[in-house]
Amino acid sequence: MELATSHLVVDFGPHRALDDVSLHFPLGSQLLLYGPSGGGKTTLLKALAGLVLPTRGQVLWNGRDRLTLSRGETRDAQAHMGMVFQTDALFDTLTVERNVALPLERKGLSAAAVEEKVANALARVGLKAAAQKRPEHLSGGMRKRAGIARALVMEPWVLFADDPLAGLDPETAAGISALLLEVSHGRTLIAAMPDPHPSLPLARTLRLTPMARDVDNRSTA
Amino acid sequence: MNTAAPLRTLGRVALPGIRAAGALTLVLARTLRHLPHLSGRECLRSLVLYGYQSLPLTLGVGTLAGATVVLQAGIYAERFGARQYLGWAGGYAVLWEFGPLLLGLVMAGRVGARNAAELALLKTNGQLEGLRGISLDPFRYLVAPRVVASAVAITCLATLTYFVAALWETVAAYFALGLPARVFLGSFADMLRPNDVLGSLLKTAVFGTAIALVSTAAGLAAQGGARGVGRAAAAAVVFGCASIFALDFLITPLLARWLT
Repeated sequence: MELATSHLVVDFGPHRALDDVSLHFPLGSQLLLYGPSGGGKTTLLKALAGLVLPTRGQVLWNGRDRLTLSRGETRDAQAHMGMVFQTDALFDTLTVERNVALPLERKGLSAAAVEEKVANALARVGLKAAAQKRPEHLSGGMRKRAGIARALVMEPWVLFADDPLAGLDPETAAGISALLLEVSHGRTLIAAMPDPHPSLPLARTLRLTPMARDVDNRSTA
Repeated sequence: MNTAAPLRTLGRVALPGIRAAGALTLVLARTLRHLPHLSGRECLRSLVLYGYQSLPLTLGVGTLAGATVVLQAGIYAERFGARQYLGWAGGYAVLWEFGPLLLGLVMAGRVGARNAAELALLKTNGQLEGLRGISLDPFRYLVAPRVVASAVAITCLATLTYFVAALWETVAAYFALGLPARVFLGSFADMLRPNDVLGSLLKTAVFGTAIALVSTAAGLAAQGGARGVGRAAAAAVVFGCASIFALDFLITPLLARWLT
């Protein structure tokens, strides 16, 4: 799945969060968005994922303007995207297993198929033993892993990670970085963080600031 | 003379009201749209939370409302020699006014504040957006079940509350005024009609729906952290109570004309 933005502008009331952003993300590419708060990193991530609507310009999913897609096409396209949220967005009323199974809720899969997919996703992030625990009983790193498992359970082509290392100690952050790099093979990975982290060296970086935006394409490999 | 100034003032005054009406309409419309495919698990969880866990409080309200109405009305019933009508008067007062109003106010505090605070927290913590991020409609999955469950829970609790209130009216009439249960319940059964019960339940259902809609709109409008959650809970209680009084004023004459 190819993602792109064309002259994308996003305003929140009088505040302009993104101004004329044109980017292209071929399948399998990696990009780190970084910069200080208010620079528009999360807004760009959410606009790409279809969670924030453009004020002007376009977000293109496989070359088509996201706003011209039907409800079903939007749902199908979003099913190919996984998002790791900064706050992990897990529900404390559900077990880790149920949280991870949420994206499969409306897929019409059998209970056995759901169970298998959830078990695979949890095994992949090393959380199989915590499947029946509630997120409130997990550490920060484990919650992050559960969030990654939930993003992975649909086998997405594009993985968004909003500040995935926030609030983690260096050792846990290194573990989460390694996990993200491992699961992003063959996928597009777009991460947003305040600063580049040595443990998460992505191929391209884009610095977003509230005043100016400088693109630094170190490599497109 | 600046002709735009009065218009600006009018806009400043009217806009919040229009915005609130729009938010309530959206919550109602989206709830109705998702009615056929609500999440059963979330409905059940919300029914337990809002209904079952509110039982002790509502039973307390029913007990006190029933006993107080009879003690108060009993003074005048004795003064005017109308003791035999006390059952009807007490039943009528609880069914038509005190029951729905008191229960509505208590539920606006308990169910409304809780619903608004939970939704506000889910919104400010990013869980609602998280659901959209995994292609699930948060309204269908989380919001609509709460609206339906709180409206249903309040209506069901009302039925039980009126029963308890009638029971304690009978007890209070016997111990405080020496009125035998047979006389009290006789006048209650002879003079109250099924339509009085229907009117009361309709009124409570309207109040319950209003509490659910107002608290949901307040919760979904929350912004910021702990302060936003606090503001949402306070708005749910204040506007929930205000809407109950306004609706009581509006629908009581309509229901009375239709059902009596």
